[in-house]
Amino acid sequence: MSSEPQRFPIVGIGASAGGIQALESFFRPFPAECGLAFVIVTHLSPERESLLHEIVARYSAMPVAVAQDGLRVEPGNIYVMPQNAILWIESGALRMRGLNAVHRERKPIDIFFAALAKDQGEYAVGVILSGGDGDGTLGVKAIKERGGLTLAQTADGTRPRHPAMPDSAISSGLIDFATPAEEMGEKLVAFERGLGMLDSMIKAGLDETDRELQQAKEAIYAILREQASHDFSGYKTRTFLRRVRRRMQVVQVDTMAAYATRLSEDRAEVRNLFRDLLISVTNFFRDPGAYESLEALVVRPLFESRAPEDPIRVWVPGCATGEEAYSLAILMRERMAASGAKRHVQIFATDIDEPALSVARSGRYPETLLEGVAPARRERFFTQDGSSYVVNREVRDMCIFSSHSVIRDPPFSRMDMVSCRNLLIYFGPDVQERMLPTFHYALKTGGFLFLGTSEHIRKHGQLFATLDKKHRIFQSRDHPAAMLRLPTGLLQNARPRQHTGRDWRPDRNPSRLRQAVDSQLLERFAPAHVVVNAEGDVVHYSARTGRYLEPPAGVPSHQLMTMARKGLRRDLRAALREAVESRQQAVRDNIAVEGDDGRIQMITLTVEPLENRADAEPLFLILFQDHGAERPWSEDGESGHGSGDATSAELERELRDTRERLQATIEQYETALEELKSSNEELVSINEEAQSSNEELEASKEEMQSLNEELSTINAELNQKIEELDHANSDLRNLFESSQIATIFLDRNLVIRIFTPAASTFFRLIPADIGRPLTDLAGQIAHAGLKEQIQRVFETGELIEHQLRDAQGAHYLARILPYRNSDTRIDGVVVAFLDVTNLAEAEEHQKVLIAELNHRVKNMLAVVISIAQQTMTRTTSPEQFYESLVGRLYAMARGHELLSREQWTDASLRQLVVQELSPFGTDRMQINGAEVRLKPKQGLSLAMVAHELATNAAKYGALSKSDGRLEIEWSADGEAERVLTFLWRERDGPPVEMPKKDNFGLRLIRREIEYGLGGEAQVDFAPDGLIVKLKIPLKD
Amino acid sequence: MTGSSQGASRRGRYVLVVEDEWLIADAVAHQLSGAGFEVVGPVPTLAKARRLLETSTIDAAVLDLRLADEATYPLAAELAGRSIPFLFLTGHNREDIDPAFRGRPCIGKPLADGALPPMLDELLRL
Repeated sequence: MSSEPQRFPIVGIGASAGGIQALESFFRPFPAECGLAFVIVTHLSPERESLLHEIVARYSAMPVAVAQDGLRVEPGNIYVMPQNAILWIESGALRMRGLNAVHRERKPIDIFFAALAKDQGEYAVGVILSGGDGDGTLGVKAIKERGGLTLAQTADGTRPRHPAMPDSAISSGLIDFATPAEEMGEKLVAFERGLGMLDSMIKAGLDETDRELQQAKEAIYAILREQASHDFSGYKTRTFLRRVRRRMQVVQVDTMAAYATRLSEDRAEVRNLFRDLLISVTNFFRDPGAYESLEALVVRPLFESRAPEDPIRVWVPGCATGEEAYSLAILMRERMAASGAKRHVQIFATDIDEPALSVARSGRYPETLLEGVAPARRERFFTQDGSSYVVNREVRDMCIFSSHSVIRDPPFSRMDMVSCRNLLIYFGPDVQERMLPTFHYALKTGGFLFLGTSEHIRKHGQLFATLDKKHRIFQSRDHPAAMLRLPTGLLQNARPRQHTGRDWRPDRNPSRLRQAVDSQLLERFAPAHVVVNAEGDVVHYSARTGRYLEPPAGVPSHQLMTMARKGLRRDLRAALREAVESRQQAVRDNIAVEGDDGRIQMITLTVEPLENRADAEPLFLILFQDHGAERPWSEDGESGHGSGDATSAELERELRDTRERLQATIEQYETALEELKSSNEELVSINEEAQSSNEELEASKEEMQSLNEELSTINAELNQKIEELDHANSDLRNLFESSQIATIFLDRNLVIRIFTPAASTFFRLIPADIGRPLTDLAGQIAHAGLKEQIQRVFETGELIEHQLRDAQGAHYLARILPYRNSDTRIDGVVVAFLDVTNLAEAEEHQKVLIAELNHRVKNMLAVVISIAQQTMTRTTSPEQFYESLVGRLYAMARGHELLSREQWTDASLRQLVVQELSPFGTDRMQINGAEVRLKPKQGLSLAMVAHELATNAAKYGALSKSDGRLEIEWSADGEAERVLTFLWRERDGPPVEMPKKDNFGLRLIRREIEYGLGGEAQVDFAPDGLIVKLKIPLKD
Repeated sequence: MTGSSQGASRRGRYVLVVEDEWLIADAVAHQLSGAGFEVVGPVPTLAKARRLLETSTIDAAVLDLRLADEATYPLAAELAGRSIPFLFLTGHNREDIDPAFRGRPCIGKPLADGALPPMLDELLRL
C-alpha cells in the first residue's frame, strides 16, 4: 500500500453501558490538533434523543459532530452516531440509514467496524470501551484481518462499568492493546506517527543487502521455528514484515533487532506474532465462478464415478474459520439433493489456529460474512439467530475440524479432493514446492486439487493435470516417481532433497513373486522404454534409456522431446502424435540414433497407448528396440586415451566413494522408512482416539441439546408463571382499589408496608408513609391500646375484633389479623377498619322495634285480660262468654290486619266499616261518607265500636229482623276537617229498649271514643231505632 | 291482708293514673280504689295529666311509659321536680327505659291482681 499524503487513521469507538465515563477518560488526554478522526458508535435507545455529542464536546478539545449520511470524515474531528440509525463508512465518507422502530440493530459496532476495516484497511482502528454484551468482537476481527489496529479497555485505571464487551474482544485474542481508557490516546498518537514508517521499513526489509535487517529477520524465523514449531521463512517477506511491524508498534519497539531480542525473552509475544501471522481472510463461496466450475468439473464427476457405498473424502487444509469447508459441504449437499442419492461425505478441515477452529466448529457467522451466499442457499443451509446465521446440522455434520499443520504434520491420505485455497500465498516458493507433492500424496489417483486464484502448481505439472486453468482446478496424475518428502518432525534447515526415485509405499499386489520376476525380466531383457502422457511429459523411465535420451541443458525437464537424442526427435514426435490421435500403435523402423561417442545405432521405435486406464489420464508407452550393433558414424571417431592407469585409479577411487555414499544413503533411507512406519502407526492410533472423542463429543452435544431444550421449557414455564403473577398482582391491586375497607399492612416493628386507597383517605396516609412506623403517625389510627392489641395478635396469633365510633358518629369495626408468610410464621399484622355505621344503626333500630313490640304485645295482653274480665262479669254461660269475647278479639284482629296492610300508617274508615258489617249483609245498609283516613289508634277504636254496634244490632236491633235497615254516614268537617262526625241509625227494627246500666258494649263505645280518642258519643235509644252519633277530633 | 290493715292510712292518699288505654286505666283505677287509695284520673294524655297536677292534690302517680303518641318522661321529670313519687306501668323491659328514670320503680303489663297497692305503699312509705 503506497502512503498517500491524505491518508489518516479513522478510529471507530464502540461503547455501550457505562460508556460515558470511559469516553471521558478516553478523550481527555487528546490534544485539539491530532491527525486522527473518531467515530463513536454506541447502543442507544431508539426512543430517546441522544445528547452524547454534547457530553463528548464538554471534555474534548476537538470539534464534535453528529454523524450524517454522506459526511466526509476529516482528521481531528469526532463524529457521534445518532439514535435510531445504523452507521457505516464507504470511501472515507460516513453512510447512515434510519432504523424501523420494530427491528433494533443489536450489533451496530460490529457493522461499523466491519465496514471501517473494508474501507480503511491498515488505517482502521477499533476501540472497544465499556459495554454489556459481545458486540464489537467480530468487528475487531474484521479490522485485524485487514491489518488495522485494535484496542480494548481493561479494568485497571478507569474501570469499565460493564466489562463484558471489552472482555469478549480481548478473549478473542484479536486485541493489540488491552489498556485503560486514559492510556489509549497515547498509543493512538504513537500509532499515527508510526504509520508512515511502516512502508519505508517494509521496503528496507525487502532489500536483501541490509545485513542487519536480514539477520534480525533470520533470528525471528528461528525463534518462531523453535517456539511455535512453525517455519515462516517460506512466507512472503512483505506479508511477514507487515505483520512484524504491526507487532513492533504494539510493543513499541523501533528496530527489528530489538524486536528479535524482545521475542527471545517474551514467549507471550512469540505467540502474539504467531497469531497475527496466521490471520487470513476467508469467505463463503469466495470466487463464485470457481465454485461453479468446481461443481461441474469435480463434484458431479465424483458423484457419478464413485460407487454409492464409497465415502467421498475431502481435505481442506488451512480451513481457518471454516467458510471454505462449509462452502464445499453445501456444494456436496446440493449435489446429493440433485442426484437424489445419499452419499457419505467427509470433509476434513484442518488448521493450526485453534481459536479459529472453535469459531468454525460453532458454525455461527455474522450476516456480513455471508455476503457471498445466495439467498436460496442462505435459506436452505443456514438458520438465522438474531443477527447471526448458524450453519444447519446436515451441513455441519459433514465437516470434521481438527488441529493439524500442513507443513509439520503427516498429511491425510486417500482423499478424493483437496481444497487448499489462499493458503499457499502465505508461503514462500520452497514451502509451496513441498506442499504440492504432499497434496499429490494425499489424493487418490484421479483425485482433484482446488487452489486459490492466485496460486498455481508451478513446475508440478507431472503431478497434476490441469482441468480448469482459470479457476485452478487440477487432477492428480498417476505418477509413481513423485516422491513425497514427508516431514520428519524435526524441521531442519529446509533444503530440497533429491528424489530417491522409489516409491516407499508397500506394494499391495499379492503375487509379489510374479512381480519380482516381471520387474527383473523388464530390467534385464525388455527393451528400453518410457511412459509419457499426451503432452510428451515422461512419467516413467525403464532402465537403460540413456542411449536414447539425455538430460537437456538448463532447467531439469521431463519433456521427452527435449531429451531425445539427435536423429530420434523428429520420428519420435511424429509417432507420438499418431498414437495420441489414432489411439493405435505407431511404429517407426530403422531410425539412426547418434550416441555420445558418435556411434550410430539403428532402432525401431514403437509408441502405443497404455491399456487399462479407464478414467485416468491417457498414457503412452514408447519402446526403443535396437537393430544390430552400433557402428561408428565416421571412421576417425576413435580418440586415444593417454594416461590409462592414472585414469582407472581415479575411476576406482570414485567408484569406492560412490559405493560408500550409496551405502550411507541406503541406511538413511531405511531409517526414514522406519520413522514413517512408526508415524503411520501413531496416526492410526490418533485417528482411533479422534474417532472415539468425536463420538463422545457427539453424545455430549446431544446432552447439551436436550439440556438446552429443558432449559427452554423451564424458561417458558417461568415466563408463564411471571405472567400469572402479574395477573395476580394486578387483580390484587384492583381489589385494593375497589375495596372500601381501610386496610394497613404492618411488619413486625409496626412499620407500614402497604395500605389500600380507602386507608389513605381514612387515616390521611400518603405514599411516603410507607416505611414509617405506625406509632409515628398521629391521628385517629393510633387509638388507645392499638399497640397492645397488635402485640397480643403477635403473641397469640389470633384475630382481634372490636368496634369503634369516631367523632362524626360513624361506627367502625377494627380487625387486627396476623399476617402469615408462606411458611405460616407471623410476619406482621393486617389492620382493617370496616365502616359498620349502617349495621350499628340497624341494630339500634332493631332494639327500638323490639321494645315497641314488647310494649304493644303487653299492652294488648293487658287489654285482652281486661276485656275478658269485663265480658265475664256480664255473661251468664261459658258459651255466651266465649262468643262475646272471641267476637271482640276478632274485631281487634281485623282492625290490626287492616292497619298492618297499610304498614300501620293509617286506615280507610270505609273499609273498616264495611269489613265489620259485611257478615250481616250490606244490601240492607246504606253507607255514605267521603274517604277519611284514620290513625292507627283511631282506626282500632272505631273497629271495636263498629263491632259492638253491629253485634248489638244483630242481637237486639234492626239487623235482628229481616226487613230492618241500617244507615251509616259520616263526614269530616269543621276547621280544616278536624272533626269526624259519624252517624249510626237503625230503622224498622224491633222496638227499642233501654239497655241495662252496666252494658259493656255501651261503655266500650263511650270510653273508646271519649277516653281513648278525646271525642264525644251520643247514644239515642229512639223508639224506631237506635241512633248513635260520634264526634272524633282527627288532628290534635 | 295488707289492704284492710292499711286501708286507713291509704285513705286520703291521692294517686294520679296516666294511661291511654281505657280498659287498663279502668283496671288500675279499680285496683287502687279497691285498696283504699283515692284515684285521680285516670287520664289518657299528658295535657290532661298536667291540668290535674295543677288543680288537684297528688301524692303519687302511676304512669304508663308511652301514651298514644307521646312518652311520659316530661311528666315524670315534673313529678320528680315536685318530689311526688311515681312508678311506671309499662310493657317495656327495664333497660328500654330512659337512663334518667331507670332507677324508678316499675311494674310490668299486664298488671297482676293486687300487685299495685303494695308498691304504692312503699312509694308513699306507708
